[in-house]
Amino acid sequence: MISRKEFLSRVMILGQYCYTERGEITVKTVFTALKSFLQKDESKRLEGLLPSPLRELWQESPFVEVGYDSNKDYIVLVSKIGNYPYKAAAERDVKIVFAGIREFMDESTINELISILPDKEIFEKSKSCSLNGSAENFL
Amino acid sequence: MEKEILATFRATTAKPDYLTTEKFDAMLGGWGVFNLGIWAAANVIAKEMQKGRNMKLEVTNEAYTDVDDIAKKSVKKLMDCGADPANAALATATLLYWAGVNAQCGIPCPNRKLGAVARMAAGVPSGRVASIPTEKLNNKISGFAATLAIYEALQKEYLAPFDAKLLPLGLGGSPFLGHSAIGEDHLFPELGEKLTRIGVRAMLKAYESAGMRPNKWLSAILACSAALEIIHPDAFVGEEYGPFLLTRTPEVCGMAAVEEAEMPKVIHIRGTDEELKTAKVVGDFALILKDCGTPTVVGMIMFNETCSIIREGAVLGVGRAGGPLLLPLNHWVTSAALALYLLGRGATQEETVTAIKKSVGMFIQPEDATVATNILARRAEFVERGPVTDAIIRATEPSMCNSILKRATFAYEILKNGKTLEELVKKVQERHIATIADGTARIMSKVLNRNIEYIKFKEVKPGAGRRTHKFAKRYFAFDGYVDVEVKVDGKVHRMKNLLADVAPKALLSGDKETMSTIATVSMAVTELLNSGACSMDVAVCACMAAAMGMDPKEAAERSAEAANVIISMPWPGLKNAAQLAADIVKELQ
Repeated sequence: MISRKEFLSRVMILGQYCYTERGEITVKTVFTALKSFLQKDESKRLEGLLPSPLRELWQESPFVEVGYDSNKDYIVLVSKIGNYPYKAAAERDVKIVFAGIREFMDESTINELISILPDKEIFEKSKSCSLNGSAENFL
Repeated sequence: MEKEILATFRATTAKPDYLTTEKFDAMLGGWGVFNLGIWAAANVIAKEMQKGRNMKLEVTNEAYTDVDDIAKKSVKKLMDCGADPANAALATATLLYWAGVNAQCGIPCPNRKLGAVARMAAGVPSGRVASIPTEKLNNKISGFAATLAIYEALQKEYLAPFDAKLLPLGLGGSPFLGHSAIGEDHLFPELGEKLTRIGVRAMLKAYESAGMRPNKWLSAILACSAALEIIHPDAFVGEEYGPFLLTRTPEVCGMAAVEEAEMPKVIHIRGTDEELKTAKVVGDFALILKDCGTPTVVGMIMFNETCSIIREGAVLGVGRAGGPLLLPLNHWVTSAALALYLLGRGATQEETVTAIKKSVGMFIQPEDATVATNILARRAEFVERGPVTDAIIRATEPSMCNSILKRATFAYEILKNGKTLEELVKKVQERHIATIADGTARIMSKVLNRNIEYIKFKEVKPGAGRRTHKFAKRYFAFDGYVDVEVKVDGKVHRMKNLLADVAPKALLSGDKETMSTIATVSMAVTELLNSGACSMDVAVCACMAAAMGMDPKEAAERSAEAANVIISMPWPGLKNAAQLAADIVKELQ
């Protein structure tokens, strides 16, 4: 089982963040937005799918009330919660966290997770090279 | 609205040249700078990005990539704007880097490096770090300081972590050494780190010895470049330095350089506060400089200014025009580079506009900085239009309009109430000087971590008595007289004739206490000396006087004479602006 530290280190590498705390802040921002975006039952189901160290991070991420506009677009919500300077920066971090999650879940759990997520396309795109050993994105 | 206000507004904004004493056309010849070329090239690159071109160096089996093509277009535009080919190569590589292109990729073939891509696009020969000068900080040094120290050390001591005589025959350049523990875990990182530290120390020392405050940024980069001329510049390194496939020798050298130069480990982007690893940025630019040819001092000035999107720039020596000082406009490229950076990362125009506004708002004189940025963007559009200048004009035009209108209304009221043009200009100049004093006190209190309660300029005028030439007596920038009072940490300090008397005496005698007081006001004095960079205050006065019936030539001459500090050098454009105001008002119904 992956540890919390290992997961956050992996996120830090994927995101090329400057320090470890940035990885944790990013994960919690993405989780907070997700928790706040999903319906309560969806949120509960998603929590149940996460490996325990990630579930711990999920539980530590607060729920926030969101306005109607934010509710329409998950990335906009991440952007607002994380105080990102532009939407594409928020999208990049979402992909990094999702890529990190993907590395530590089996295929069937991933499929179940995708069925809950608000932005399925982004999750589909969020694959790190370590999934298949391909280095195309890094060389 | 009164027609005189409308005429003044239109005349001052009719041409970018009417709001500055700078010589915009000369900027297009490459004489001292080629900053308009940087603005134009940023537009060229941004337009290519919008076409969906692949902004990445990749290990693809092709002779020619999108980045090669864009580099050629950018180089051509820069050379059309006066850049020397090697300078065009460096500026192109730097802009492409900030636009999101990676500094290197590859294996033996294709081995693509951004510096080399840009150099080959410009068709210039490769250079050596020893021949790369630093930016001019009044004086300048070169990478020779780092190279010399490194080679002296290589002669004096044994720097590799093993005895090379023990290496078996046939291992030179082989994967046995280069792709394994010996090279990746020991030789490259350990030697790279040692060489870089030697180079950084030598650069810092050379700066000081030549009478300059050491520039940490360029010391770090040129020392890394010198080290990368010796060690393998593409090698991956052991996992303790960073993750496989992501961390190569340039970043390892960058880490050593950052530590040796005492730079912060994290730097930020202006306007967005995004975090970047200093070591990665230093390593990437070291690699770019190593490969891009031999830029001149002018090229290095432009390189540094293009990097001034780094928020810590003023402290680290990464350019000078990003703020908070309002430098001569020939340095300014920060907004163009920032807009390109943001567009390259997928920011919308709206988001880019917000970041540009935030960045310009960090100046000691945000209004003047906004106008300066606006007129540069408008002048750059004469050369090349595009998304970069579109966003910058949107970010600055509303505030510029407000600044000019506010001043025009004020000038109209004063002159209408029977005051003379000289009285108007005097009021405007006093307000301008007070804004500089207040802004500097606020910003320098934070920078120096001292409580600067106030800065008061008691007397500021041309002619400090150091020169007898009439020109120097007339223009503040050439022999400025400054009496200043500053209250720092509860204590009042008074300095008479700061530039010609107090400052040189204190510096030459090593008077640390006085120098520490001067540090609290020196930025404000510099700001005064550079006042002509944005001369809207005087332009509005002259145009209003002309619009209200004064002969335009007389209005220009009397305004310039009265604005003896904030027009710090001759300005022929003022008469043209005043003439235009007079012409407009005549035909307004």
